[in-house]
Amino acid sequence: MSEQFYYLWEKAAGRRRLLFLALVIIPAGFASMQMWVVLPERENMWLAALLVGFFGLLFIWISLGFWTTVAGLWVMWRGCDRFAIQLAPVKKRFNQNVRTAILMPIYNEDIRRVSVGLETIYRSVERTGQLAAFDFFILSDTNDPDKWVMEEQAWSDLCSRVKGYRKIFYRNRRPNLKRKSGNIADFCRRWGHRYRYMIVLDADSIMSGESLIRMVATMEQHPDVGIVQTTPLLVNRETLLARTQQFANHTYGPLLAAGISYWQLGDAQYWGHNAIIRIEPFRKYCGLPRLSGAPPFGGDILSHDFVEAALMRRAGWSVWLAYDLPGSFEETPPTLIDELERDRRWCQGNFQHLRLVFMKGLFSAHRAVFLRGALNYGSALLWFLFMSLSTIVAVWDSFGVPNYFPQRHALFPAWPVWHWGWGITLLISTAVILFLPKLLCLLWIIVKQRNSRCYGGALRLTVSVLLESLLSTLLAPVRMLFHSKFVLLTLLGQKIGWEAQSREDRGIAWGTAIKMHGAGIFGALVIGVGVFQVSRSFLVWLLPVLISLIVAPATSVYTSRVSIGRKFRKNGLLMIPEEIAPPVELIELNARLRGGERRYAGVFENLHGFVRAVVDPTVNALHLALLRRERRLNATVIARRRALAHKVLDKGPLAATKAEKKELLSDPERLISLHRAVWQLSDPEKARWWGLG
Amino acid sequence: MPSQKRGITAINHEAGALRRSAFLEEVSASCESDGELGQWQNAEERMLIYLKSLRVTPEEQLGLALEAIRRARAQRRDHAEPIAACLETLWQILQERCMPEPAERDLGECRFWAPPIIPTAYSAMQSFGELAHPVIRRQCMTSAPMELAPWRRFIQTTADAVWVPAESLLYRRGRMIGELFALLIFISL
Repeated sequence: MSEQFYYLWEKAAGRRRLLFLALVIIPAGFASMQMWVVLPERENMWLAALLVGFFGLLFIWISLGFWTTVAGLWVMWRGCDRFAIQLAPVKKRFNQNVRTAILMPIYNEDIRRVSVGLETIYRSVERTGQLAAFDFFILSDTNDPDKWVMEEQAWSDLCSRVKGYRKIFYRNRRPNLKRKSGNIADFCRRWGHRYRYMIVLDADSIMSGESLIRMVATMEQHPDVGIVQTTPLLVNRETLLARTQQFANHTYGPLLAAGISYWQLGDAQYWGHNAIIRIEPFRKYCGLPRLSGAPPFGGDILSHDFVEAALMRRAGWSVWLAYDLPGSFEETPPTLIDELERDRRWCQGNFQHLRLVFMKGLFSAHRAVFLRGALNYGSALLWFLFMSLSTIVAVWDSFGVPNYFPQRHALFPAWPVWHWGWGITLLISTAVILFLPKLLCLLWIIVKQRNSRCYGGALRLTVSVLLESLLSTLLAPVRMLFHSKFVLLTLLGQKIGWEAQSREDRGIAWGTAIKMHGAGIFGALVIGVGVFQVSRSFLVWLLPVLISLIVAPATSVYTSRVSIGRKFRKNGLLMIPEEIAPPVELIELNARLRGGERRYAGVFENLHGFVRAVVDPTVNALHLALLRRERRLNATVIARRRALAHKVLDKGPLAATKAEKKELLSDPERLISLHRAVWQLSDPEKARWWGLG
Repeated sequence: MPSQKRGITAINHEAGALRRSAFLEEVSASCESDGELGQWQNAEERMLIYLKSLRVTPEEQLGLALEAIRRARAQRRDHAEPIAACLETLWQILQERCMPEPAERDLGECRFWAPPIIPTAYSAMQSFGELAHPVIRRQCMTSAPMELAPWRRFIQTTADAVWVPAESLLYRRGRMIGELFALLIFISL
């Protein structure tokens, strides 16, 4: 990328962002003024001012999405953005000496899905004929001892299946410092010197070989670029909720991504996966420190990706969003519970970024990204406060007596006027801001793209958009309530643990749903009954929110069902192009997931994890081979581990905790002696504990 | 051809069964009780499972197990359990006979995977372990400086001056106070 181009895109980005600010702030100011006029309450100025303030902020928030979609439509309709990064052409090849590592960091994941996914990517790269330029790494942070052993077996099986020894590598990191960012940093320290680029994936990512090649070629074409982020499409889910998310991602996602790229240009974000990174500057400038103080605002940086992008940009390397690069996929949480669990993590991570907003040397675009990330969840609290204040104002209005003579010695009363017309105008303009982007996306697909058949046809596509809007409207108050709770808990200093994400389709039981939404239902009923007594006209405004909270358990349960999702699919609703004409990678992935991998059926197939590593000579051998070389151990440690080995021999493997199993698995000497001792057990009862009965 | 192969396998099995029955006669003759004979049979079964899990062919399994029993009986000390003695001997035999497999051989295809309790095999295992990751050459990756510009530091310290006392009021002295307070606000709103 030439100096001149660098200068040009920076100037263009500045102009575009100014326009963006104007487009967002001016209408929001106008709408707030309208709101001020519409409000009947004049007695409590502070209450009204607060209400208008919240409304203005929320209007800004929804305008961001609206103008981003409009910008996306502008770019996509024209077919190009002359300042955006030019991707390498499909057939472009690059020098084979340029080495790239494809990283899959995992943490207590379903290893079968991981290995099948990696196999699919491996074979896809193999088909391009450029396999020699890539190495694959499974970077495990798994701390569950049973899963650790299974991962090793899966790695070995995978290498056998694809003949990938010396191409596919596996490493289990014992101290899980700094979570995922620490995992990647550990890779950079150990093996970073061998590669020019790394492509970071998630455990559920799938990328086509062609896209990977194009990403590398693009990086080679633009030596000033530090990170290129692709826009992963959501695929492969069957529950109703996930199918709705997939549909929304496919229908609205492309315009939104193009819009984001339009405003950000070379100051884009990095989303933590399905992105290519230039290793050398990343290693030099993107190491993340541990923030001072206790979590949630201190400690390890949770949402590392945004910060790494900001640091890369601060170091002078641009970060781009490749919104038009196909062949990048991921999966979405299958149920509302899984989605909210993920949101809880992201909420804390995004709020932690508020500490970094004032960091020295950052570009303002990245400061804005930090703020926007926090507002992603903060907006829910704003909405909650706005609704609460509106209710208070309505109640106040019902109980209070209007002041007909605000000025002393007035001859005529000043009747309080309720400007219905303005109120309706405000409501309609808010609805337009919220729903017009969906309509624009629909039009773009039908009129410009002319590929509505990929969504089941124009009629079904339209019905699907309506369904998606209905479901997202129904779920919006539920999400608002939970996100508000997450924000409050984060502000109150409640930290969260690091759990593996659920990635499989499973339903929610009624009991779980009622327990989860119980407080919301209770609150909605109390408010509903209370407002009914006080102001029935206001209840009409509140009703959509209250109903959605009351039916939330049913919504959670039914949207988590695979059977319902399949019925929609059968009827051609909420379809995505990948379901009508799936790419080779997804066909292969699903075939492998359905069929199971070809594996050697050993004697101990029914044993898993720790027990298998102790008993099965082959697994035992493999595990020992992958352990670090023996170190000299402290006498106390040796004595403790001996005692542990005696304990599991006497009381069986179930008597050992996860930490104890992990300790035994980390000690080659102890594992060999356990293997011997278990095989030499003559007590049939004890032998049965180990599967030798 | 397949029928011929099946025929050979059947002959091998038959020969194995004959060897086994002859051997059992020999063992039972020298055993003092049925209990002792049962112990030797258990030891034989355990060894067969072990060899099967090592992916040794069925023809070789029986030969190795019988040889291990023979040697174990010859070397047997008074109080040694037959299973322990047989397994110990089996591992010796494996050490004598197995050359460690080349490290790059696929585990799934290994015909005779020597267990790591055998020292020579263990070193081969370690070289197999090197396939798991490339050679490490450590480089440093230090944390990026995250200091604030002076005027931003001023804002931050001012914010801290307000926030820290409020924070300690809310939950530092006891988390519950803060959480209850927030819960009350949350519910009352």
